[in-house]
Amino acid sequence: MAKTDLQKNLTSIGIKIIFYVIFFTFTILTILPLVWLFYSSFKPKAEIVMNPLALPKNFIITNYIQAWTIGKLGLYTINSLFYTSVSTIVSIVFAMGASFAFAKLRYKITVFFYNLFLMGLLISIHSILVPLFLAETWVHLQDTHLGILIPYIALALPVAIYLGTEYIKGIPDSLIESSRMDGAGYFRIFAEIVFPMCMPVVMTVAILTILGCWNEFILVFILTSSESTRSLPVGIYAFSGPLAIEYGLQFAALVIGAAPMILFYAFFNRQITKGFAAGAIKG
Amino acid sequence: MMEIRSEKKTKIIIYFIFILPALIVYLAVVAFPVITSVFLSFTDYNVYKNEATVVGMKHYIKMMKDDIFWTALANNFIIVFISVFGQIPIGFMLAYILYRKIVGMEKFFQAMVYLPAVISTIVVGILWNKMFSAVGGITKLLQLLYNDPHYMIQILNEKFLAFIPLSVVFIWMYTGFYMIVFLANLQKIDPAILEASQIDGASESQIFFKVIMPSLRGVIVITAILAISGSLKGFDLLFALTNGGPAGYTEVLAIYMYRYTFIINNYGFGSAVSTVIVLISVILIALTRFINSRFGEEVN
Repeated sequence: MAKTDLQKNLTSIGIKIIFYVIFFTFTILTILPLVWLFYSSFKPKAEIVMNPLALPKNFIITNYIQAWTIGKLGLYTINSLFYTSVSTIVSIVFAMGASFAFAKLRYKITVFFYNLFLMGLLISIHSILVPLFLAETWVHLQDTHLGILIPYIALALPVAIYLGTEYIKGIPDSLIESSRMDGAGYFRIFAEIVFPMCMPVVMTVAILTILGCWNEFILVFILTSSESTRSLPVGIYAFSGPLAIEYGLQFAALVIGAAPMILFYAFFNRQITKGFAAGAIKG
Repeated sequence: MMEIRSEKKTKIIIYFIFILPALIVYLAVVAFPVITSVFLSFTDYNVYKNEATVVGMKHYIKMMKDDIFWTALANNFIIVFISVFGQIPIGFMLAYILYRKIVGMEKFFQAMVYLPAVISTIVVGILWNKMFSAVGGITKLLQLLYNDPHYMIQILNEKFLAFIPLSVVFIWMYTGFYMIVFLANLQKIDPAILEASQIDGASESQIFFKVIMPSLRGVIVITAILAISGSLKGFDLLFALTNGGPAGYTEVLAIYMYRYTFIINNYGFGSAVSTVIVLISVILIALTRFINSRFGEEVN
């Protein structure tokens, strides 16, 4: 009996070691490219070409200064912040309003509208890219800030409405009815009772939208043509053009592109993983 | 009576006030373009004159005869294949290890494995493009490994081999995503059931196959759907990593569509490709669900 216990312990220790090794390997493989990118971004071009793996001998920050000014990354960062914050706020207000109506002011037609929004979860951005581009040229929204905000808001709605409606369904009807008895209108009930109660789901939706908008590339790439409307990912992609041989600048630009979301993730990693798990379970 | 009627009327007006902002924006950006796209796919559209001449099935026939279209389609399936046999099982394995608390520091490991998924796909694509390039870390590592300072990987330049870095990047970026999806669902399993089966003397493998796997059937279908729609959506990463090259070896439908529409300016053809992408994803997702319901009946 004692022997089998010992054997059991040994195998479980063995399994433990194997699993630790698996996780350490995965973790290292995950971080290494990012670490390599980070220290390489402080190397002059010649060092990068001569010795790609080595740590910087001449530690320089001019890559960053040049990338920032040549690439106009300051302007693009402001644009990215603008697109992300406005789309997130507006889509949350729109989505929560619709979710409230779907969950609490039930009409038969709700099923139709709700499913219409859910279908959006399956639509990929590429299938609407061509007509969206044409439609924006027809109404002269192409290459404007509004022309980016509108699709960003629309594309954030399906998952926000799905999560919002499911959440508001969980709020007891009696709470709303009793407020009705007290003479409160639906707008007041929504603004003062339901919306504040939705903070957990609003947080989740906000995080999903912030990540989605900040990292979005193709829409801005297609729909804009001037510097004043471009966002950070498009600005960073520009370093793959004629500037591509300026490795130092490109590496610095990549770090500038990756850093904000890595920081955001460092602060909100629990909410982000929770949010994505919730957003994914929509099948 | 009048009062009740007018209140009902107000209520439905309020209902629409709540949903209209979302509905209008959504219809304008999603529904209208999808319909327009189907219409445009049967026309030759001239963007300068804003004229559409109906040409029937011309674009679809041209697409069916184009070898690159079939390569792109096949490549989309290869990417689904990488997800289904790479990211999903690895993600599941990692989630399971975290779930059974076999390793410590689970929060740290989870955070690290998921990290790449929050970085912009464009940044990831360019980063890995550089990693595999002449100035890249991987190239240098291989040079050291082969002890040949002139060893250059032509991986990104060979038809079959081009998918190796691609798989690496996809697994690097998205395994964490599948891991958290599985982990979230594993944590929904009632711990009391696990304890009960342990008390009844069930072994680790019995617990795994008899208790855990059956409760995950739905999630496995969801991850398959995500892999399919994700592969059809996947554009940014490949665009920055290989841009469909070399010689179209890693072309996927989204890049194929992009090239015809925005480089060659053939909007009708581009719309036809868009329509095909939507059709394929709808069919595949319906198929996955159908298999699931069939499979589900057998189990029950």
